[in-house]
Amino acid sequence: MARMTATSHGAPRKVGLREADTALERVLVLLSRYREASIAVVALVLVVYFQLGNGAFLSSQELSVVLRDTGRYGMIAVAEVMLMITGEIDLSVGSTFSLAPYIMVLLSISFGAPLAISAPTGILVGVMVGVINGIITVRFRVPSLITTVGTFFLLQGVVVSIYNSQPIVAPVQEPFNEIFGENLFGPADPIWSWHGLTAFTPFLWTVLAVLVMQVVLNRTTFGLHTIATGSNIIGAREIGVRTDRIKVYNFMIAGGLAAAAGIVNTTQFASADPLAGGPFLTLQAIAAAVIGGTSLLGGSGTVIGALLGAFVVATLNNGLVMMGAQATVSDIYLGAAIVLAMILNVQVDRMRARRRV
Amino acid sequence: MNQKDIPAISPDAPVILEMIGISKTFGAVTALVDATIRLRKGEVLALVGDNGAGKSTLIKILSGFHHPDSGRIVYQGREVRFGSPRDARAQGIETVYQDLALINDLSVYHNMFVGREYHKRILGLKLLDNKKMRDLARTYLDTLGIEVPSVDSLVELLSGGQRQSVAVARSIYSSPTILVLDEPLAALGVREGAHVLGLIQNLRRQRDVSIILIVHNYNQVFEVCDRINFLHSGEVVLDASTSETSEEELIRIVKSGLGRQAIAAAAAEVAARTTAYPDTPGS
Amino acid sequence: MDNDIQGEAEVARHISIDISRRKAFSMVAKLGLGGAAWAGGLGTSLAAEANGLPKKGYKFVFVNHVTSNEFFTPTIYGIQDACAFFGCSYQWTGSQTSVVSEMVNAMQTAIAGKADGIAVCLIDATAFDAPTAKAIAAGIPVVAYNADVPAKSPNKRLCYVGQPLYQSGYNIATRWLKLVPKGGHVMLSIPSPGTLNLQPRLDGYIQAIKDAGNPVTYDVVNSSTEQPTEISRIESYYLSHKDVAGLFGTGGGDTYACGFVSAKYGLAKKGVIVAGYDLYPQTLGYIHTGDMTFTTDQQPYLQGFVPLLQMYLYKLSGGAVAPADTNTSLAYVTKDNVELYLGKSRFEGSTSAEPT
Repeated sequence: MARMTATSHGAPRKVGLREADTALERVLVLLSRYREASIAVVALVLVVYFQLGNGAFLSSQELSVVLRDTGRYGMIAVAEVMLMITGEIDLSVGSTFSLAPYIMVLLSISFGAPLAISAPTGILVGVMVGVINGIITVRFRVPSLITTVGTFFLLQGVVVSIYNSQPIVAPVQEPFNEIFGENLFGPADPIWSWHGLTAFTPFLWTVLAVLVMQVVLNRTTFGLHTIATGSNIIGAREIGVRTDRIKVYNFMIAGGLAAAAGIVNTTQFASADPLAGGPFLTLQAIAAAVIGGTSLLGGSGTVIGALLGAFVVATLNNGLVMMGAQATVSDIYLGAAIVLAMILNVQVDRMRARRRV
Repeated sequence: MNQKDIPAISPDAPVILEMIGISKTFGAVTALVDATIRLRKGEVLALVGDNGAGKSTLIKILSGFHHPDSGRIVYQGREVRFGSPRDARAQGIETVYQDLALINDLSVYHNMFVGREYHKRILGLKLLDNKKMRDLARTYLDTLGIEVPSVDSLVELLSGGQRQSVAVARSIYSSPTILVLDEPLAALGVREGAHVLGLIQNLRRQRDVSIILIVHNYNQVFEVCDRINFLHSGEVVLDASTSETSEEELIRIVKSGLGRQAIAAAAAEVAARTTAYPDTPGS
Repeated sequence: MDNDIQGEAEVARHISIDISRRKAFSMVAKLGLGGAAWAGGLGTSLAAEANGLPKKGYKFVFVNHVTSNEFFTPTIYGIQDACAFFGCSYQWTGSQTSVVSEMVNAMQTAIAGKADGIAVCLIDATAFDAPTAKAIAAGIPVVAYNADVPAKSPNKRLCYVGQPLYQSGYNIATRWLKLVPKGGHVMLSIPSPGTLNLQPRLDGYIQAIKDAGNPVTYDVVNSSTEQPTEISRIESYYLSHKDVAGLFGTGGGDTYACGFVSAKYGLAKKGVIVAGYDLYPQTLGYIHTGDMTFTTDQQPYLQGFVPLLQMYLYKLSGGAVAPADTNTSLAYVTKDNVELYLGKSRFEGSTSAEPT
């Protein structure tokens, strides 16, 4: 809509927004509505690149691997998104990822509890970790970066000392394992079958988490207050938002999601490894969240973007191997690729912002 | 638009708020020492004074953001204690802070309704009713004559005057009993400032909402306010109606160096010829 | 001390030549007075007499590069058993993620705290030279275990206890080269390229391939140090190189990952050779089911027991009994002898209970 301003010469001058004229501009306007557009572009570019480089990338088996990693990074990335929106961060997710399933398996083996009981217990452990992180951060005013570095090492030490660093073989109990992660997809199975579906179970659980958090973030009071807390914490407090509570709740969500991701991972491989999650996982998940469009400064974020970001990270991790990146240099490529992905994302985002309504 | 268009406030108007003997210290800094203000229904009260005089602290105590170290607040005849901003808002006291307390990453209509959101139930879940809030915001802003590109626009994209107007609109939306505005015209140009002053004048004409205004421009004080309280070093040193003093006089007081004796002398001089409120018992 | 082990080996050989070394040792230990009395030695009859070696409250510091890695669980058990026998105490410290500076700091702290001996994994060719020299100058014996500096290094450590890394890689590769068809393509994986405890093994692989006249081509994959990522990367490699003839790991985690991928796609059963290092319980499981061809036993228990024993004797004798290089052996675990390793044993780290 162009606003007309009368000037002393009588002829109206057009100021304000210009209408989209060409088809390209109309597409850009459409894309500009969604922050996730830029990361989607990056993901598409990568898929095309790796598929051209090595035709096996889009095979159902390889996609199962890439999407499995996407699921793992993605669920943790979603946990980080909520916290990053409030202006905090959680570096202890890696240790929660290891601790929760470890406890779940110990309960099942030592006390004979069925996995259906010990798994929610594991998630509860993750939520409790979130409570601790949250309370230390808001009550004692410790920056969350420091709080969670501390809890990372604390929990890492706990899980390692429980059983002297030994990974424990997790019990396989159907149908729990089938539903939560076990991959039954054999080479002979058709893709459109229950077995075929289980090839993507970790990814599907993460998609569910993404959809739930998307609704929470954009359609509930809690989500609104989360954004308010991160965008202007003093202002939010002044208009009655309970910022301390909001932060603690988000820490709890982060801990719970990290625990869930760990449990799905353990169910996948029937093994609870005390070192399954570490700095690498944490950093890849945070990278996924940021590349996906969540600001490190707080106030804005996107969980769908985080899922796409996780896909980008998983694609890079596996695609590079497929393209033959040798061990000594593969980390160079991975690091460079992550930075390039972010640069590309920022550029597309700026083009998008210029067209924003 | 000046004073003469608006009838003076009736002498029978009841006192709706008294903040009596308020003291507040932050660590080593004393912000308020035994400060007392009174506000009548429908009145527009100006709080003036230098930076650091305690004006912002006083209104933050009224809005529930801070708690006084000593003193009492009597609101609508009852002694009250505000535990939090939620409390004060719930009792009908709305405040527009200097920093506006607007959430940049949320839309105009979301900003209007933070803390009093509308919900609808879908499949047993309590979700935000965005459509309703959007429509209500649009209608309300139109009524007040406030122009924004769209109620969906993120607040960070608005101009200074639009932001200020939205903040004021948010505060008067719930028909508060008392509206507090902390330097509402500070960042505004002439046209936008005139618009906000117009909003205040409209409210004043209705004599329904009571307003406390922190403002530095004495011109504006005499344009829209009924009464002035001058704060200095944490206490109220001058309490006069705007019809009983003038801009020049205020400036003279300020220029006299703001020494304690000078202020007291100037205040005494004004007090001698003004009609003070009848003291309420126990004050 | 070194003589005692060899003496024991003599005894074992005397008892039976065909039984594998491990089984022989365990029998010998049973003949001795309990598992922890191994070091008492059987050639001498010290163990039976009331006045054996005295208990001394020496404090030994073990500096490790992956302090929480399960591979070293049996190592810690070995240290504990030796400590219990000699009345010593130990500290297990260092870095969790192979950060050399953290390990050097740990050594400095031990020197400042006047430790009675330091055992350290030399995962860097030069960084440990200075603290080692400082410790030796202060009269503190320094023993290297699990990872050692290259042959010409001026490092002053008194001996190396462990598997000769490069040599082990070379031997293992020689073994699997016999099984992989000529002209085939293999994958070698390494979790942390460049670190001194893994890179030499990889170098050994590569040199063995070269010396055999390059009968196969190979790719080297960085599997990373986190388990789920290791599995994903190796799986992705296989899916993009379906004609791969061999999957070979250089560490415990990536060997397990190779086994996982092999089990998922039935690779070993189709003739792909899958081999590597260390005895993760899952790895042993894969050998048992035929999804992995073989793995190697570094005897991590001995990598804790022997250094502590050596340092104790060095202190006790005032330096007269000097530590000596000990090859903790290279035993291959295949389907034929995997039974020995399955089941819970303190020596493998799968249980903390002492043997009876």
